Amino acid sequence: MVAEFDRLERHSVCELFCYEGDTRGYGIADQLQTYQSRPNCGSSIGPEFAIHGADPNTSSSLGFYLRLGDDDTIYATSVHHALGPNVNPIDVDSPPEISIQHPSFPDVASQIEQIESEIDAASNGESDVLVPTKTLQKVLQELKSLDNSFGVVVASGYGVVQIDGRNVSEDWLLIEVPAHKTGVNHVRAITFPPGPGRSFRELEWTPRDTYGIYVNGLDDLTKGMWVCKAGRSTGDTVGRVQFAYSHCKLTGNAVETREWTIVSSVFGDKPIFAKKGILGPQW
Amino acid sequence: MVNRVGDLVGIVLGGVSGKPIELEGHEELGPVYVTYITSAPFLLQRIERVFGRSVNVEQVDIAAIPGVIMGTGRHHENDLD
Repeated sequence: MVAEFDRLERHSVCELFCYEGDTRGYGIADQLQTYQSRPNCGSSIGPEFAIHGADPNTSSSLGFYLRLGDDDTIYATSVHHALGPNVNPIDVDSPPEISIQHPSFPDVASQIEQIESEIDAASNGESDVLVPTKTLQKVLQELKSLDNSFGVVVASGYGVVQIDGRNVSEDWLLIEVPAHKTGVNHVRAITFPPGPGRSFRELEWTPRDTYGIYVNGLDDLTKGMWVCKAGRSTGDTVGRVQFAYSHCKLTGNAVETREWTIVSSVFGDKPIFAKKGILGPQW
Repeated sequence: MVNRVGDLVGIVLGGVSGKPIELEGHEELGPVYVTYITSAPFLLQRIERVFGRSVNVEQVDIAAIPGVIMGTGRHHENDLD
């Protein structure tokens, strides 16, 4: 931005408008891995410290925000596995103090590495990046001194439960988030209103703004339902619920469970709806 | 994860990458990539059970946000094909 400004003919700055938040256009994965002052659904999170079995090298995606009863406190959801593979479900009556950061430690480290690499390349005259080295150094300094603490874990559930006689996986995490760091339930998604020759992405998804869809209610999953998600690994994707598959064998589960399933073809150029590690267990 | 009218419907449990898999009982699909989803109402029910309190999903006042596009009613799945 400074480089662009330097190219302009100007005498002085008359007005300066500031925007708090992330200004980029679409919910691709890279953007969900970068810092937002108030992160929304799909943003990168992970444990802040290696404590009580939590693994700071774990990256996951932020779920949605909720409140309990009439309480003013806002909580964010994710999956229990966001803490790493070696943490027991968190008891609400005696939760160990596990802090969550945004973005996750690996995502911050990756961005620092990338900028350092660009600075090195620039100092060796090998960079084609137009941003001045001084600006890159400033961004690097800001990134290193970022206050990326996000919240504290208050409870989680993990295992297999029986619903109407069927085994179903339970995997959730609840994080208490300070009010000044709370985002909104908004799913970044490149979906458009309907038009001639529309594709599955171009159908009407509302209520929405330029960047995505606002959560406007709650509904059950049904077979054939079109859904859209945002996550730090695969970004925003659209899929259709195929069926509830009764033979899921997730890592850590001793029995098969029944889970709603989206199938992505191995053919064509449509993106996979979600890869392992998007939000939850890997198998 | 939301549906076409902005209802929260679930979160992703996980998905496969690398080698596609065959689903038992759905072999006609061939090798596929799959994503498993936890239903949002189920998830909220589990949290309610643990805390003994009702759970309310946060919603912004959409009417108060300039430029938000509301639906026109074209939300039937039949519109899709």
